[in-house]
Amino acid sequence: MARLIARRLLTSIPLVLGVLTLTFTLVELSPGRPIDHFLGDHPVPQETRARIEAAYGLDRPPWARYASWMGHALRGDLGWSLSRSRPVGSVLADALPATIGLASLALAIQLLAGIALGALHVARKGSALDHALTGLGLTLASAPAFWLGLMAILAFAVAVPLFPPSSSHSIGSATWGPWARAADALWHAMLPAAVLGFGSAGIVARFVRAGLLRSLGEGFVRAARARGGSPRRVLWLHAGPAAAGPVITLAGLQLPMLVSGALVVEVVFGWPGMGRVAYDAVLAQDLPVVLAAVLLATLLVVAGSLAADLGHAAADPRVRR
Amino acid sequence: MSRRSARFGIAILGAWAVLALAAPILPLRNPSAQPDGLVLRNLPPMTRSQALRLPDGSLRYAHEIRLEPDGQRSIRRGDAWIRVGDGEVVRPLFVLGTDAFGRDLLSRIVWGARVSLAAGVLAALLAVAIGGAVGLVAGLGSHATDELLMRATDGALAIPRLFLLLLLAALFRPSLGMLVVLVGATSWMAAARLVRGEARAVRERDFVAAARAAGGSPARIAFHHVLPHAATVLGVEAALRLGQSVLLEASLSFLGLGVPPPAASWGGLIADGRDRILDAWWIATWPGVAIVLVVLAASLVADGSRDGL
Repeated sequence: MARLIARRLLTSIPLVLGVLTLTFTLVELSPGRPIDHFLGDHPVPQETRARIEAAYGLDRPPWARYASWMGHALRGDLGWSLSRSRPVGSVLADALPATIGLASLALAIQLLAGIALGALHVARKGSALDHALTGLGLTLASAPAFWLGLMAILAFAVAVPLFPPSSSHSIGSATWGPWARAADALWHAMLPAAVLGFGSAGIVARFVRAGLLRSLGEGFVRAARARGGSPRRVLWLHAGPAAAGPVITLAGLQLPMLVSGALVVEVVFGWPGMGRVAYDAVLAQDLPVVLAAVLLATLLVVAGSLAADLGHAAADPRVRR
Repeated sequence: MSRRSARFGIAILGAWAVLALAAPILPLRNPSAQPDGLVLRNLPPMTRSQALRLPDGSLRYAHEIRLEPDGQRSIRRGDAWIRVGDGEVVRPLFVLGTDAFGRDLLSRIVWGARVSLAAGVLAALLAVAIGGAVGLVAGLGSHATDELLMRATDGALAIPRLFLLLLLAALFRPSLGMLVVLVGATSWMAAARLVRGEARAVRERDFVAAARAAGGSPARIAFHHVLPHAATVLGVEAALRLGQSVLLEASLSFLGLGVPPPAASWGGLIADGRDRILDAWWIATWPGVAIVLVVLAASLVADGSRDGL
């Protein structure tokens, strides 16, 4: 286990360096001088521009700026957000928990719905319910997340007002006790998380189905059956855990999509996460925040897939080394 | 099941392609014309509006039309009655309704298909081309090249695509061409892995060795002998990528970073409807249905042809 973690952490170092290099190169390749991105459309006199360029070191050659951008970023200094007049690090640190919370809830919904759907498919193959649910899963997976979000708001916040249409907390909730606040946050997160989770549950279901069918044919499952295990016991105790591994890995591979999906869903639902922050930063032409958001979103994915690998190892003794 | 659903998918994609190509000759209203922002604003689906067809053929839309005692007609727009003169009363139908500017949603969606599908198809082709090239080089190259390219592919897969696209759209002013390049350039990884796998599988086979012994150049071996083996997986990947590219383009347009107006894509149409979702649900709903149909059809085609392999 410890070696697995160490190896994954080591391999993520070049990835972080790569993302930093990639984003720096993209900014360099884009039209205009770096200062244009930082000043946006503000009319700034020439001498002031020159002063800012000198003060922030933007007049140095690209390699020098690259070295200093890398150096600062690796020490956790992600720059200054002009639109919010705060360090970029603190802007994103405030938004990160909201995104992690939303994505975790979505992941839980995705896995639960996907496993239920996949197991149903194996247990009741070819039934009308199976066909209907498989079709529904495929349709939801084909819909853009932001559109599903709008439809969910129409259905479950307007037509049947079960959930709040936007924001992450009720007005005045700051004065409530911790449990009431947590319940309130969960209530606000349900709709966006359901949109994200059900959107990809169909893909998980397909893997659950394939995994269950494969592991039902394995020797240890036949052995369990031969020992007189009931079909239910064999499915849940023997075949199920063996099929869980690939599903956990798949969930890890789906993380980039989940984080991308979270971006648009956060914008639709006014959820104060990283996607929302990055989007606002693009509109405000606040480049340091966008750059840092790309990096942080990637780190989130790396951390998530490490967790998925550990989960896989925990579920399936065959992959533990 | 799979063969039938693949045919179903092809039929849907084909129908959209025909609609998109034929949009200029179809009897549709001008998608960006705003004939009457007051009368035609936010009409629900299947609404028949009222209009007076003047002798010169033009339409005057009205909330109400009245026959004056002298045989002339007056129309009411809002609170104001205007005496128009002679004309024939017609009741134009708006099948999918109208948006906040009184534009016909049906024709906006059919015209939007041109933008969305063109972006989707071109981006998918670009993604498959880039991925195919990377995969061939990795699969046929030295061990070090393979390692380097595949680690880069893994790294590219780990970056949440929409965050990267958001950055790119902020740095490079979006146009349709730029959008295609951006989406294609961030979607090549799956194709690269697939082609690399196929190339690894056949690189030591006899016919490749024979081609090499016959003095075939590396490029010739790659394109004439190895690539044909990857053609089917690439085709499946292209179909999947088409759907995903339509989705990605829609996301960017929805965020306001896509094709600049007035050439609205489906994502842009949904963005138009977002602010009116409470009083005019249909504006955002229909373009989403169009996207679902295309993406669903693309994955049915991909699934069906994968099962057929």
